Amino acid sequence: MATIKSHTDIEQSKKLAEILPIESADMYYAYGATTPNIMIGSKEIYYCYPICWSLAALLSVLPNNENINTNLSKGGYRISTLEYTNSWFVDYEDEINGLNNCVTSADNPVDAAVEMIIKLNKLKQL
Amino acid sequence: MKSYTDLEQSKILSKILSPKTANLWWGERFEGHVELNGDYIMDDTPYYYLSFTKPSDNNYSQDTIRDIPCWSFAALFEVLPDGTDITKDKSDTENEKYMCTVGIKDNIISTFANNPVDACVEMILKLHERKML
Repeated sequence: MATIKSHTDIEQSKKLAEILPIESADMYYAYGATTPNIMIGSKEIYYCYPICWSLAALLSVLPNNENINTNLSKGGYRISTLEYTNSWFVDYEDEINGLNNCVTSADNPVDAAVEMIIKLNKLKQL
Repeated sequence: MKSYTDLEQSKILSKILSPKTANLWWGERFEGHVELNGDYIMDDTPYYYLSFTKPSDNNYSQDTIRDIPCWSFAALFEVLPDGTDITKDKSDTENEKYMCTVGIKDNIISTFANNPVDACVEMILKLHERKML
């Protein structure tokens, strides 16, 4: 069985539950469980459980509009959000040819995505 | 959002990839005897359920007749070569919202889908076809 981290752990899930709507989650932790279950049907019935996000669900909440695109790269697991207008991110790490480039990286893609969501939330850009 | 391979994709990928690369399982079971108009008949229609553990390893699921490996998006991404990019971009068509790009030597290969799982599955099939996986 592959051991790659494929969903948020309980601590990350608690943090994200304060930021993201339940509709964006696709898994939940049954009480006492350390492995999540996949949500089936209406998500409202899971509101009393700790909810959890798969990597695909995390990627789906990252920006995708006329000015910004999101990129997930393998090889260091890096997530970047690029925007194509003037200065936009207050806290950008890099600037390439006038594009503001907000980057997070981790040893797995889930942690990189969680960090990006927390960062963008602080910047009020989610 | 689709976050893992569907049954058909799982069956196809299980012929290409090692089951060790999967992180989920489809369990295939038969209902067994079902009541119909007061009689009990054998129902041999299989049904499928998803599990984080190998279904046939569970004592309580002895009716499982087949385990089919299943890949989450993270597991699919792990199979692809270093340097693989998943780009989520504004697109004219909803069906091409996610682009998977792999650059190997002088070849740049891209696949498009409306979710990252399908984009990765298509890329794995393309790379397998070209013996680049």
